[in-house]
Formats: sequence, C-alpha cells, structure tokens
Amino acid sequence: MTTTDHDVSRSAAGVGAAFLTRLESIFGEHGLIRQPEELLVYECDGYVIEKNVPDVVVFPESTEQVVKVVNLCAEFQVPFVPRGAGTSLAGGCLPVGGGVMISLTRMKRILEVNLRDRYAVVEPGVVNLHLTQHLKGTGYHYAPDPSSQGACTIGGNFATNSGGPHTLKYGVTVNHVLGAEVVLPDGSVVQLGGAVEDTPGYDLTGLFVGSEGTFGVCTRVTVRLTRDPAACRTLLAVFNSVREATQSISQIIGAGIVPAALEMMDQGIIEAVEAAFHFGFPLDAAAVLLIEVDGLEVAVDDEARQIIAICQAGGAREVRQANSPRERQLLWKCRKQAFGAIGRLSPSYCTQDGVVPRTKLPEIQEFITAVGQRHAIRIVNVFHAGDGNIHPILLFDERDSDQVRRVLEASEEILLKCIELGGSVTGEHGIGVEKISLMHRLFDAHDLDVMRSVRQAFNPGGLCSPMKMLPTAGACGMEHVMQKRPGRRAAL
Amino acid sequence: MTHDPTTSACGEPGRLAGSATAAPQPPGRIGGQIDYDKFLDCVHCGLCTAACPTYLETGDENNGPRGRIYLMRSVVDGRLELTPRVNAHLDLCLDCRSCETACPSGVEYGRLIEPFRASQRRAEAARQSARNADWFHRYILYCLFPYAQRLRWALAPARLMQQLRLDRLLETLGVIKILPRRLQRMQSFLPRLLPGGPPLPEFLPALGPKRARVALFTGCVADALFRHAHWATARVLQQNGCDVVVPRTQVCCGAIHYHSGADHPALALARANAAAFDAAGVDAVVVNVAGCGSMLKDYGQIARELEPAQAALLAELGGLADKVRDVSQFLAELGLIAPRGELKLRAVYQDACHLVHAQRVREQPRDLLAQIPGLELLSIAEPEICCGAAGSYNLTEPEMSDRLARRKLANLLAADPQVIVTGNVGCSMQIQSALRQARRAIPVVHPMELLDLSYRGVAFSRG
Amino acid sequence: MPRVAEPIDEYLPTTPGELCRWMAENADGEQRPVYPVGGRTALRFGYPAAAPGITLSTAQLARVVDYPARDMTITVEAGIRMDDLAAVLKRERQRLAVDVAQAHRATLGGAIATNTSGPRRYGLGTLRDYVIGVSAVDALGRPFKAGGRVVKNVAGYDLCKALVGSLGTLGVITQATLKLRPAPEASALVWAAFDRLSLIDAALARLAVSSTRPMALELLLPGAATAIAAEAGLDLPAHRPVLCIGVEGAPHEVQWQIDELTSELAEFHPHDLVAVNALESLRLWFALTEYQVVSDEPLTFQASVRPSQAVEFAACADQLGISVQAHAGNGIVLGHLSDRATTLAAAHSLLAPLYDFVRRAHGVMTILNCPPDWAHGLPLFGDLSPAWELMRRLKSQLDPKNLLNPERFFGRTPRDA
Repeated sequence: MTTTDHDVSRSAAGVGAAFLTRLESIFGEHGLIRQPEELLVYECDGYVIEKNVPDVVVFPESTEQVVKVVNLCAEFQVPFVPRGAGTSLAGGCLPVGGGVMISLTRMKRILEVNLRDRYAVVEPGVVNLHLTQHLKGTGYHYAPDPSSQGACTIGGNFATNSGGPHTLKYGVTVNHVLGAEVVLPDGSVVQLGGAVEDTPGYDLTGLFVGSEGTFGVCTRVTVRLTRDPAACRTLLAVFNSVREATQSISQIIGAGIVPAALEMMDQGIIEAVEAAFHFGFPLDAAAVLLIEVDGLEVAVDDEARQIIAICQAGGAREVRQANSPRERQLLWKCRKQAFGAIGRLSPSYCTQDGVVPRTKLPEIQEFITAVGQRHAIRIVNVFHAGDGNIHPILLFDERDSDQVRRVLEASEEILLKCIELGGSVTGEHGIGVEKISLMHRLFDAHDLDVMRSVRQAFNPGGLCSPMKMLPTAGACGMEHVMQKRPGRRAAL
Repeated sequence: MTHDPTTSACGEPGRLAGSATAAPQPPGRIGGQIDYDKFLDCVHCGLCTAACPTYLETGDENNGPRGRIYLMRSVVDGRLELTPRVNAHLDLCLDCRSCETACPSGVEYGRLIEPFRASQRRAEAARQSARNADWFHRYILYCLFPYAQRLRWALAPARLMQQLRLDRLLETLGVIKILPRRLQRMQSFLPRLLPGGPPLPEFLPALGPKRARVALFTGCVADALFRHAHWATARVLQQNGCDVVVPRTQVCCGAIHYHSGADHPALALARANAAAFDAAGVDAVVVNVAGCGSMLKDYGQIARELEPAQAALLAELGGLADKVRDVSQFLAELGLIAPRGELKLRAVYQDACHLVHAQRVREQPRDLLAQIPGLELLSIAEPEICCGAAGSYNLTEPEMSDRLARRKLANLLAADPQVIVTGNVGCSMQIQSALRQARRAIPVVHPMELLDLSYRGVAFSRG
Repeated sequence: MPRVAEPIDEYLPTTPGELCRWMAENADGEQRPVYPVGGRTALRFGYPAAAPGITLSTAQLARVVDYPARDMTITVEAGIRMDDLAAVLKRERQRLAVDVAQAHRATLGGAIATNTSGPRRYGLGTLRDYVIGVSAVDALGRPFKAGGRVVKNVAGYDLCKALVGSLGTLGVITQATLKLRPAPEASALVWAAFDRLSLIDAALARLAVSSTRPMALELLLPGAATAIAAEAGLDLPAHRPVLCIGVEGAPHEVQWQIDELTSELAEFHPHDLVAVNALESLRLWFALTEYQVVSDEPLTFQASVRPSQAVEFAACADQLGISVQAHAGNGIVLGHLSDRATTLAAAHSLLAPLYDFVRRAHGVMTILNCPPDWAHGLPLFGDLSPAWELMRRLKSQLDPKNLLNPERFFGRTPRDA
C-alpha cells in the first residue's frame, strides 16, 4: 500500500495526518488499512442495523504494537475499539465514534499448552474451534462452544463472556479463564491472574471478562482446559405440544440431572432445519428437545434412561438416540446452524437473546405466542432451554414498514417480559450498542453509576470502546442512534 | 446442438481475443447480472471467515468471504468503485467455496464471485487491446487446456525431462530459473509424469453381474497428466459391475474458461459435452476430478445465468448436470464391493475443495478408502482449507498459493503419512510440487488408484 | 490475640434499606471506618485495622429471599449461616458445591468476601463459578446490584466477580443469588499412603488422564494426615504422605471409580490404600475442609503454584517442619507454621525458601493469618504485581472516602507499593 499526499487527505477525515504518519511508522504498509474502499467492510459486525466506518484499521502482531497504538491514541485523544472476528450480534465491534479499530486477527498463536496443569495460553485472535482442534487427541478441550465457534476468537469470547449449548453443565467463558494480559487505555500492560489459581487481590480477570472491550485490549488469555467427557449420549425427544416440551425440561432438571446440553427447537425451526439438513425430523411435531448427557460410561446410560422416561411421561411421542458420532454431529449441526436455515422461511428475521428462569419457559413461550398473534408476526423459537436462554426469531419482510414496526414492538415486549419474569435481556450476545437502551430497565441509576465507576478505574479517559455497554449518565443511551428497523441476522 | 467448440469459440487464440475485444460492454454495472437476492442471503454473521484460506493467512476481512460479498454488493449498489485495491481482494479469492460449507444461511458464494468475475473480466477485456492482452494466459486457456492431445504434446518434453531426471538436475542447477517466470512456475507444478498408458477404449464391460451403466468423463488436463488415474477409475468401476463408456467427442469441462471470465466459450464447451454424453442413456456420468465434476454439476446454473431465455439449453445442460457424480459419491451410492488386497499403508486423505465444498462430497472417499484392508487413514489439521492450487490460481496469485501450499504441506506431514490421497488433479500437482520443494518423496495418488491396487492385489510401491 | 486498634462499636442492620441509610449517614457525617463481619471466622485475613471504627454485622440479614428449586438457584441474604443454607438446600437434594469450613459460624457473605473454598474445588470450582447475582451497599450508602437470578446473563459488568474475594473492601454484600447443583447420591474418598512423595507426583501425573473424574485431589503430609484422620475419627494410615482422592455420583458410579482408581494407582505401589465410604466419607470430607482453616498456629499461608509443582513445594515446606495440606489438583498448598516460629524474624527465615520457590515458579504466597504485629513485616499478598495499582484505582472509585476496611488489602500506607 503506497501512500501519497492525496491518500492522506482522503482518509484523514477523522484523524490527523500526523497521527496517521506515526501509525504507519508502527505498522508499515501491510499492517494498516486506511483507504475508504478497504475500510468499508469494517463498518459493522454481525449486527448490521447501525454502521460506522473506522478511520483506520491496524493489525498488530504483538503486545508491543498494541501498546504503541494505544499510547498514540492517548497522545492524540483518538478513540479506539478492539475487534476479533466481528461476529458480535450486538454491535460490540461498532466503532461508534470512528477512530482506530484494532483488529487482533493476526495475533493468533497458541503460545502454550500445558495438560498436566490444565491450561493453555493463547493470543486473542485464536479462533475458538482452532484451540479445540489443536487439543484433539490429548483428552482435553476448551469447553465454551458458542455456535459461532468456527469463526469467533477467544479474545472476542473473553470480551463478551460467550456461552454456547454446553454452558449448561460447563459454564460460560468466565468459568474457563484463569488470567489475561491486557493493555489498558493508558498504555500499561497488566497481567491479571495467570496459570496459578487464587492470585491475591480482586478478581480483575473475572471483571474484565464480559466487559465488551470497554476496559482495554486483551493480548493474551490463559484458559482452563477441560477433560473430554468419557462418554456421552445424545437424545432427541419429539413432542406434540411446546408446553409438554418445556415442562419436561423442568422435570429433567428437577430430577437432579444436569445434562451437558438441553436445547429446544419448535415447529418453525424444525421445518427450516429439515429443509436445510434433511435429518429426518418429523415436520408435524410441535417441538423437539435435543438433550445430551455426558460423564462416565457407567453413568450416562442410566441418565439417558431416566431422561427418556421423564420425556415419555411428559408426553413425548418419540425419543430417539443418536446411534453414531456422525449422527450426533449432524444433530448438533442442525441445532448450531438453525438460525442460518431461517433464511429459508422468510426474507428477513430478527433474533432476541432473552433469559428467564428455566421454570418460566412455559410462561414466556405462551407469552411469545400471544405477542406473535397480537402483532400478526410469525415467531419461531430455538432455546438453550436448560439455561432458560431463549432465542425467539421474528420473521418479517423488511420491505413492509408496518411489519417492521410490529416486529420492533413485539421484540421489546418479549424482552420486557423476560425482565418481569426475573430474567435478563441478554444471555450471551451482549449489550453492545443494540441493547444499551434496555440497560436502565434491568438496572437502576445506582447500579449503572457503580458500573461507570468501575469502568472509570480501567478506562478513565473513555477512549476505549466509547458509548458501549453503559448508557450515558442521565440519558436513555440511544442518543447516537435511533433504531429504526430490525435487521436480518443470524444468531447463536 | 450443432455448435462445434473446436472451430468457433475455442479456435485460434487470435480469433478468440478478437471476439473478446469485439464483445459489447456488459449491460449496466459490473456484477449487474447477478440475482440480487443471492447477496441478501448473506446475513453478515461472519461464520464463514475462518473457513477462508486467504482470511486465515491475512486476517483482513477484505480477504474473507463476508468482506468480499460486501465489496461486490457495494460495487453493484454503486456505493463503491471497482478500484484496483478492490479488484485485488476479489482476485485473491481461490473460489474454493470453503465458505459455502461454513455458511449456515446457504449463501451460494460461488454463484456470486464467479459471475462477478466473469463480468469483471469482460469489462477488462473490453478495455484492453488484443495486443496488450495477456498472451500467456490466453495461450494456456484457449490453445492448450481444451485439448487433451495438445496438452500431451506440450507436456512431452517435460515428460521426457522427468523420465531422464533432467528436470531434477536443472532444478538443482537453477537453470529453470532463467525460464520466463510463469513457465518456470508451471514447470515446478508439473507432477512426476508417469507413463499414462494408451487412451481408454470407448467401452469397458462390467466384471461380474452388471449393476450399472456409466459414462466416464476424462477431461483435458487430467487425461494428459493423470491418465493412469482414469484407467484405475475405469477398472474400479468395472470391478463394481459397471459398464463404462468413454465418449470420444467429449471436451474440456470449461471450468478454467468460466472462472477467468470467458463464459461464452465455457458454455460452448458445455454444449459439446452435453452432445457427447448421452445423459439419458446412462445411470451416471462419473467424474474423477473434483474441479471438472463441480463445473459439470453447475452446467444448468450457468445456462440459467447466461442464457435464461433458452429453455431447451437449460433442459439439455441441466439433464447432464443431474447425472454427474463424483466417482466416490457414485460408488458410495452404489455400494462398494469390498476390495480384498491388503495395502499396509498410513494414508492421509486431502480434501479437494471442489469435492468437499462445491460438491459436498466429504465422507464418501474416506468411507471407500476405509474398506481397503490394512489401510490406516490418518486425520490432519485443517482438512477443509485449500492447498492453494485452485485451478489457475497458482499461476495468477503465486505468493498466496505458495503460502497455502506450505500450510497444507505442514499439516499433511504432521500426520507422517506414507501416501497422500486426493481426488483432484490440481491438488495433486500442487502437493507434489510442494513435496518436491521440501525434498520429501511421498507419493500422491487418486483414491481410485489405491482401490484399484487393492482389487488387483498389487502391492503398493513408492514412486 | 487482640488486634491492633480493635474496632469497638457494632452495628446490626435488620434490613438492607436501613443499612443503606446508616452507611450514607456515616459517609456524610463522621466517616468512621466500617468493618463488615459475618461469622467472624476469617477476620485475620489481610492487614489489621489501623483506626477504630464500627463493626457491621450482617447477622440479622439472613433470610431466604427466593428458592425456586426447579431453577436450581437460590437468592438469600448474605448473613445466612452456611449450615443453615445447606439445610435449606438439602430438603431439595441440592447444594452449593463449595466447601466452607466452620459452616456453623461462617456466613455466605463472609464466604464470598473471602473466596473460601475446599477440596472439591478441583472438580467443582470456586464461588466465582456459583455467585450469579449480588446486591451490595457501597461505602456511600448506595445500594447496587449486578448479575441477576438467571444462570446465564451477560448484561452489564459482572460485579459479582469483583466482590468475590474482595475482603469487604468494595461494598457490603447484602444478598446473593447462587447457582446450585444436585446433591450427589453417594461419595467416597480413596486414601492412599505412599513411601515417597515422588510416587505421589507420578500418580498425580497419571491421574491427569485418569478414566475417572475425581472431585478432589488432596495431598497430605504426615502431620496433616494424622490430624485429619483424627478429626474424622477414622483409623487411617497417616505416617506416610497421603494422596486422598474424592469421587461423587450415583452409588455404582462411585464404586466403579474406586475400583478404577485402585487399579490406576497400583503401578505407583501405594503402601496402603483404603476406600472410605458412606458416612465415614462425609466425616473425612469435613475434616479435609476444616483442617484448612486457622486454628492455634501462629501463621497460616496459602501458596498458589501450578499443580505440577505442588508436590515439590509441599516437600519443601515439609522439610521446614510446616504441616502441609494441598489441593494438589489446583496447585493450592496450605501450610500451618508450628509453635516454634515464635517471632517475626523466625517466621521470616522459615518462609524465605518458600518465597524463593514461588518466585521461581511464578506462583504466589498469601499469608492467611499471623499475629497482627507481624503483618507489616511480611508480604501478606506476596510480591505485588502491576495489577495492584489497578486494584487501588478500583477501590478508590467504589470507596472514594476509603471507609470500608480501609487497610485490609493495601495496608496502612495505601499509596506505597
């Protein structure tokens, strides 16, 4: 990439020429993007409703380079935002105020794997699945498995505290992070936690996980490795009513079984998934549960039998068991790629990420049905049911503005109902910019004040990921953007 | 169809270049002919990114599928000019379609990038005079590739050199480095040419009870370089109770033409093949080269794209496309008669992109190989990532191609195999070249060659 | 042993609202230091108070707020005793899967503030994995909450993590929501005594790929083994180093694991191997948990090293006459200094080789308990990393007047590193 004066004036709309020159001296021509036609793809992530082009994208290859760019931003008071694979569904990587986007995709080395001590040290750009593939055959794996695991990075998982189907038994990202090296907005490099447990002082690692890039840039993560389960059984229970399915979920949990995963898909999803993957799902079923138990070989069959009995007593018309690893893989593929398959049902769709206590699943499910009827919007559902994490998918045609309005209203009603039932507006996608206006519905002014104070400790100048996660004090948090239309989106 | 490709579209280079120059500018914008809904299928989730070899290598979203779709769509929308930088990002795409496998939304990426490139190339050709056009590219495309026999002649010196081990000597001495850069590159890609044997007869009868009647596609490059694999394929089909017909009038599948923007010449070749293969008279048209197979399977789509009004053409090409099967896919469907001969080998299977991604044939070749007694099939890291061959990509984007070849080789060698198995000519050439540069002598074979050896009870010999 | 400048007054709020008002009044008025206490089992953690203040007891905030058992969560006030909490959960065959010593006294709030754990942390994690929501009051009297009542929730900063292990320096925890686990039907411990520590080290390496899935991997040197066996009232071979492995699950699952562990350990030639089952196992789990805590010894420390270094560290401590119990699978080594260490200087010289060890091993050593007048002569939290500056900033953000346990973490002169 050659630089001419003409180029400088063209791309330097938001940042000065002196800043860019300094930046180029750090990153060279191959480590930086500043041409408008190449910046365009960085204007959004998996959330496409709001867009803003960064002024420049840099590709650091080391912590030192991250420090240099952060220092430079501090010197010139330029905002910056870290980005991994850009799979956020909440606009986590949106460069709201422009400035520098720090793409961590070239920091992707797996630096250390220590099986005896059950940890690995990775750079933030390592793709989640690549770590697990790297560990194949060792008897260990990295447990958090978001549906985007084939693309999303550990750094992004760290920033958003990602979940996944197997969080039911194994917990989310924060439960598997031992430590991290972070670069704070003042350019200091701090090691939080590490390979040894119980480092004294506050659990800043735990606090940093899920802070959505508003505290600083993580440049190394020490993750806990988990033994592979000795055995697993994957079941598919078919129900004629959604209520029977959701009640069976409560029964299973109530029986003291913690499945490794417990997922629900309703009829609409079954239809789409069957069209995409031809698994052989019964198209007339109202709901299916995908249930996986894992553990010792001596234990899993008992648990599977118990679950089959509970489902049958709960009205399941059929319970199947995956007979081979390949069949299990296909079942999981159907589940993990269910959202994408929705494209086959509708030109546009909008996914929500609410959470309710799992016993409230029948209630929220009925509410969603009623909302759909009231607004004349078709809603299909796929739930991380064991966790109470719901993903209602609202189908619409974005060319019909009245439908669009109804979808937005219905979405908000569903999320507010989740709060009313004692839940949350996001189980795994994060607040980002998308749900910032809902923060004051979940938290009161004191809660948000305290959260702002915490951010102040890490990011006092506010240059790092401005206008994310927390609404501006005393306002609704959506000053910078008005949500006018829901987007077509995939989800996890 | 009376259209004869050997005398019209793919005649002499001069004529073709002339016709390209004379071709009218495509109507409207570049990419304007693409079905816009295909862009809308992309929900921008980004799950494709890490499946893309060039994104993995560069970490730049402009070099990833989601980014490229964004760029193409922005060009079509008029938001973005097709500047050299944008062109460079699109050119760097291997068209391996690994992203299609990763995509949950069913985006047909190939049906975006290929027509986009075709219109891009047409626009370029319209701008360039015939004199300035890239003679090397055209010579290879229009004079050599379509004609198996010409290719065989062209490669004869190479074959001779290889047999005499002169090429090794030259490589060692660095003499090859003085050849024009790309000829040199081609030289380094040529596999160790084995005597391929005589051309296949037009008919090979089933052995044992007859189970099916198939036509075998032999192609151009493959017939020149990998005729031994064709023989092996035919014998394996015979062993499995198939009558095998090998139509004499078949021609190149047209993939290289199509992918480099020469879409109408490609269509002409497709028509010739539709005429050569009596699709209705066979149970399947069997292909043993991944790239050709996926092109043949796309004939219907391409006809719809280029000549949407010609219903008869759509039916004719669609009819052929529907019968096309990769040989491993066909044998898996038919049910393989288990081979008996033991081959005590540690083997790795290398997925050809045009099999695993474009045709979604992944398990079948592995399942077939697993039935060979004694064969141990090892798994490798990143099996879904392209080796960098990608048709003529290794000639047009040499740097990225080499990076990917090294990446693939490292993954292959990590499994410590005694033999590498792959179902595509391009991959085979690329891997053999990488092996030679790494001074590693591991044979690269087609899955049918191993099955053939097992049926014949012949021990596998290195080399 | 009286602490320096023992806080004198005590305040017992009966509702969180009352607590808020009182905290706000204090912050606006007298600004006396506030020392929150629960069951008073861990008051010696950290640096002693420098100035008299008010002890704030959560003893009257002990209600069960909500227990939707089918959701496997419970919301309780922070002053609830751990035993009482366990009793409530037991009725639904559930538990909080964290071992807390002195559970008849210790409160949930205290356990959270001190990040208490025990043998089961190997298989089941620590409190940070179970606290999914908190309510607290900051030093200025502002009530705040974070997390929620659902097991999966990423809205807002996870202040639960900041409060776990915060030693009452960031806020007074008034209420917490916990993620629960089903109580196991059965449990057992395999108690294996070995001739040499090196055999235990090898056995631990083997167990990293065991076909079983232990919940606890405890290493006990003879002193600790003897005391623990005695506390459990069991006649166990305790004159040699002991590896004690805990398993839980359905009865046949537990039995299968005992058999499997017995055979996996055979190649390391245990001198004695005893499987402790049924009620006896409960007593042994209890003794293993209780032994961790401070009793009459002058000094107790916790070292964090990598699990693979735990045996070597334990051997080093053992040679110094320190009685040692290690959560070996986690690299946590607890040591109690004997009465021989009667002066700060003696403690210093005794601990010096261990400090050297943890420095070399990139580990850390924390003093959990020592005479108050030793505290400023010892690095209670080990060598302070750059992260401590960040911790100070966090503390001053949430407690700008430095009223809550002002010295606990940072000592008397908080601005000196």
